[in-house]
Formats: sequence, structure tokens, C-alpha cells
Amino acid sequence: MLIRADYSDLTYALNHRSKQVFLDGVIKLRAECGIPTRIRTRVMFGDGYPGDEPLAFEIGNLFLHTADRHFYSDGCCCLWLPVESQWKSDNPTALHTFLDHVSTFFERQLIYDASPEKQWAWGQRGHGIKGYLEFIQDRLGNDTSLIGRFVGVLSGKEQISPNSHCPCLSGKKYKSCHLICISKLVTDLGTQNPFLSRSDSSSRASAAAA
Amino acid sequence: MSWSYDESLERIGKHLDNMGEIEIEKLVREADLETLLTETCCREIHGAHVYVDVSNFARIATESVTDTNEYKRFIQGIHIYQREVSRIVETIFGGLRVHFQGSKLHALFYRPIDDTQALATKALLLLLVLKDFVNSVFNPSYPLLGDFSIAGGVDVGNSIGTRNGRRNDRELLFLGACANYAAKIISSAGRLRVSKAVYDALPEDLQDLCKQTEDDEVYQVEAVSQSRLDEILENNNLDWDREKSQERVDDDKRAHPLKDIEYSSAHELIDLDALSIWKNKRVLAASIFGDITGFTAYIDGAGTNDEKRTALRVLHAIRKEMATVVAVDFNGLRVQFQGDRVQGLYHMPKDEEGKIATEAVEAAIGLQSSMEKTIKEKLSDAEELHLAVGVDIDTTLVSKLGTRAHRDRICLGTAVDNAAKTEEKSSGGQIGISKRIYEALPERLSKHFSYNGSIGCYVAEGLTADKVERAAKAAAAAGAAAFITSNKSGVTVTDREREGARTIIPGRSYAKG
Repeated sequence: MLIRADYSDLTYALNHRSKQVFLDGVIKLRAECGIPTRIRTRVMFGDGYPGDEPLAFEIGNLFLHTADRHFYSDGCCCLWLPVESQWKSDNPTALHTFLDHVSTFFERQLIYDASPEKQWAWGQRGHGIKGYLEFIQDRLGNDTSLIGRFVGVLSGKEQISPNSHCPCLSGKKYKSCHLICISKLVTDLGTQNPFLSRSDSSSRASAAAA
Repeated sequence: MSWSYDESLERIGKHLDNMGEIEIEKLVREADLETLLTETCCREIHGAHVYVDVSNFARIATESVTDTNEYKRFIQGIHIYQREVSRIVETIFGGLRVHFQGSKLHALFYRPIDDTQALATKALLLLLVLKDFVNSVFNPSYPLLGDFSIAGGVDVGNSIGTRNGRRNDRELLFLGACANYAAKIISSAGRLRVSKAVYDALPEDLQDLCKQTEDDEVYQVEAVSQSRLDEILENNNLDWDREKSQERVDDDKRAHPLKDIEYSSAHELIDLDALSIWKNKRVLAASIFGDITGFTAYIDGAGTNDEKRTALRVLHAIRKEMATVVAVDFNGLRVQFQGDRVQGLYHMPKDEEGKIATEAVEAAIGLQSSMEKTIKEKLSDAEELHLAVGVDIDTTLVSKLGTRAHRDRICLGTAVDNAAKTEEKSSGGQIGISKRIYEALPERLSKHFSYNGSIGCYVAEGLTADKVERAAKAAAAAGAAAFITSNKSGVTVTDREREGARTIIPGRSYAKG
């Protein structure tokens, strides 16, 4: 009902071949002065939905589908770093909130086009591993040397005893300093942890440590 | 003051609904165009369009006028110049004085109907008489003002005559290539020029007065002696007498003594129709000109009557919307329509340069918004049309001058000239502003303009109200909230709290790279 009221130009459709349901239509963004911009949108629901978040696509080619504008080449919107996903599958209005985020993402595209400085409103992450490193850095605070100090434990190659000195050189015991923060980081990153041993993860980790 | 998409859309729709059927017929017999033409009663008129400008007027206005008495003399001078020029056009030559655009006269000869040779002859002789009048009568009468230098242009052909608005706001408008071309071929060096079409229509003895320029389509009119001019006038039954002209100028000077001419600043929006030679305003003002680029080609390309009617309907819708944006959406004065061009003026709040410049540039953005967003939504035929806008600011004389029956709203000053020239040099979709305007703007507006060396001013391309609004949101920081409202008209996302808005913290956008 909420979606019908607030996103009346989006309707459910069924792909008969794949038997997949999707939302299709237009998100009409209105500037405060009233000028509308019609953005052709499709929202796809994967097999893991609602546990997994849906994917939003801009299908009218109104914007350039490039990484710098946070699009995949097929128009899929990179709304956020997966680890920072705001999809709350247990929320009954999750899809409505998701569409609000998609609208805000499109609004940012229009802001980007309108601003002579080509600014990205409400912040963005760097591409690829850089985005993850920024995320980890945000969790660790302002000291940029900390990532290097915790590479070993973040990559799972090193264990630090809770009673050891914290690698951050604070002089405190690890358990009284960064233990909880690092443990939560490792849990939150899960399989998206850029330091995990994939074929290229060691070189990424070395680059980060450097 | 601001521009609103919904209000613009609604009033354009209302105007189109109430416009009525447009009728275009060929003008086949002599008629008083002032009473015949209306918004919907239009005529295709074969005629010679004449533009005569005082090419050094802006320089005289700034350099020769330094104290109160000289300023009054300047007002008296331009007033008397316009009165006598109007008399020569209408009484001596039987032409139609369409209006003065500042110091520039636009006149039309359409009688005798379809007699191209007679029309071209009258137009050419008007140029020569006005040059003689200025040199032998007007300039000697005003030795303390700098000498006026006359430039003129003439073209002959078909144009569509129509009229806008109602009551005090009514002006004659002529649309078509010849109405435009005559103004375009005016040389800035004080020369008189005619188009090839005029040259071809002239009798041989008058063709001898014209010399082809580097441009094959333009001929320059050579100077003639007074005795030769008198002889030509007599041969063509035109009774202009420089002594009588001198007497009328002297009478006018006596009837309009300097001591009775007043000018003052304005503390509230000027009532243009309350102005006269006796009551003038001198204000810091931003002048704005908005011109529909491509309209002349559009109307000339309209072959059938239906196409012409559509083109006029488009013109009237754009023209009325431009006037409303200038005077209603923003706190300005709609001074004049000049064919498919609108002239506006912003002078409030008094002497506050930053606020005046901001209002004028926001009006320019409002004009572009109407043209690109609402006009085109209502009128698909306007798809190929765009607006070029020019803006400048400086001290400006605002008045209503001329003869009793034909007084024109007039704005005089360097900013008026410069805004008009900037608009002429700008392309469709561009807003051109002077350095002074640029420097007076707040950063949220000035950042959309960049210096364009080929035009010699600061230019913004495709700038509409939504873009200005969105660019202001670009600074929204990571972690700040976004506020979302939605209804049937769409979804609005802002960075400021709004009543009834849903709040989210937008994620930082990412890409795998």
C-alpha cells in the first residue's frame, strides 16, 4: 500500500520465462521548484529475497553507467558498500525504505550533474578495495597507521593474545583496547573482508599496510 | 520571489485555453494597424522595415552627462529627438512608427500596398532625411550634448503583424526575416545600409546612391548633399523641410523647459506608465533581455496558414510567459517586447547591487526554466526553440517618452545596451552576464557561470531552477540526513527537514571499480 501511494508509477511485473517478479516503471523526482525528472527504474528480486536485498537498475540511460557514477555497466545502482547495506529484511517497510534510498541515489546523480564542482552529495566510498579500506579506517578512527598494524589479525594470519600489548602502541592490553573493535570488524566484513586470503588478497593487504 | 513549475504550467495552459482562434490574412488594403491587429487578428504584411539608431548614444549618455542640468538636457534632447523623428516618419513619410527600443527607431512602410519600389524608396529616403535632420537640425540645437551619429538599416519583404497584451501593455509586433534583418545590418560606425532586396527594388537613380559592401547581400548608402536630397525628395513628392523641422524642435524646447524636467531615484517599484518627460527615474538597475533563438527561421519556415497559426500561438504563449516571469515571479518591470524579444528591468531594493543582480539572474534562470520545462511540455511545436538571455547592471534612466499618442517605455544607459548586445551574442539556452553582475552574485549562483572569451562575458549553459536548487545540495555531507516526501506528482529529496518528510541516512555510494 505504501509503495502504491508513494511510488505510484512503479508496478509489479512477472518475467514469465524466469518466473521472477520485479518492480518496473518510473521514479519521478521533483525538485522543490516542481520540475520533474522521470527516471525509468527496475527493481529485481533475487532468489534470496527478502533475506538478500533487491537490486535497483536505471534502465532509461538517463545517466552514464560508469563506476565514477556508482553504476555497473548494466545500470545496476551501487547504493552502498555491501558491508554498509541499509537493507533490513526484518522490517515490514524494508522495500519502501529501499526505494527511498534508490530515489536519493538518483537525486545524487542529478545533483552531480547540476553542481559545477561535480560533487557527490551525502558522501561516497572509493572504488573496489579502496572503499573497504575507507570503511575499516572509519571504524579504526583517525590514525591512518592502524590498518597496517592490524593487517595480520584482520587477515586471520595472526592471533593476538588478549593480554598482549595492543598493536596500536597505546600501551594498553589488547583486550582493553582494540580487541572488541577488531572482532566486530572481522565479523561485519565476513566474506567481504579484503584481507582474506584470496588470490590477490596478500598483495592488497601489503598495499594497505604500506 | 521564485519560479514555480506548477504555477508556470497552469498559467500557460490557461493562456492557451483562452487565446482563441488565430486568424492570419494578407493585408490587401490600407488599414490602421494599431486598431486592426490583435493577438488573434494577424496580418501578413508586405513592407519595408527601417531601424535607425543613434550609434554613439551610450557613449554620449556616459561621457557628456556629468551634472544635473546636463542630465535634464539629455532627457529633453532624447525626448525631442523622438518626437521629431516620429513626426517625420508618420506625418511626412506616412509610415508606421512601430516603437523606439531605447534610442533605436523601428518604423514600417506598408503603403501603398505591395508596391515594393515605393516602399523601398520611402525607406531609403527616410534614412537620408533622418541623417540630415540629426546633422543639420538636432545636433546644432544641442551643442552641449555630444553629436548624435546615426546608423540605419532597411529590408523589405513579408512579415506577420500581430499585437500582444491588453490596454496599457499593448505593442505591435512584426515577425519574419525582414523585420529582423533590417536591425541586423545596422553598422555601428554610423552608416546607413539596405539589403539587396531593397537595392533591387529601388529606381535606378536611387540605386546609384548605394554601394555594395563586402557582404553581397548588403549595400551602403552614400552621403548626399542637402541640395541633392531636397531634389530627390521633391521628385518623390515628400515634403520634408529642414527649416520647419528646426521650428518644431525649437517649439518643443520651449514647451519642455529644463526647469520642469525632473528625475529622481525610486524607493519602490517604478510605475512605468506614470513616467513622462516631466517625471523620470534614474536608478541603479539590472537590464535583462530574453530572445527566442530560431523563432524567425521557424516562422519563415511555416508554409501553410495552419503552420503560421501554430507559430503565432507558440509566440504568444512564450511572450506572455516571459512577461509573467519577469514581472510576477520576480520583482521586475516588463519594459517592452521587441519582436520575439522581451526587455525587463530590476531596480529593487534601491541601490543594493547584490540583491538587484541576484533578482535579475534568478529571473533569467526562471525564463530558461519556463522555456525549457513548461512551454515545451505544453507546446511540442516549441521543441526546437530556445532562449538567449543577457544581463547587465548600471545606472539607468527610466522614462516614457515620445508624442502623446505614442509614448514608449524607455530605459537608457550602458547596461541596457550591453545586456542587449550580450543577449545577441549568446546562443539559445545560454545566459550571458557582465563582469559586474558576476561579481555581485552570491556564490550559489556565480559558480554556474564561467568566462566565455568569444562572447566577452560570463555564461551559463542550460541553467534552470532545478539545477540551481540541486547544486546547492551538493555539499550535503556523509552521514547527514535526507528528507523524502512523495505524492502523486513525484518524490522530492532534500537536505533540509520538511514537514511530513521521511528521514533516511543515505549510504555512501560505492562501486566495485
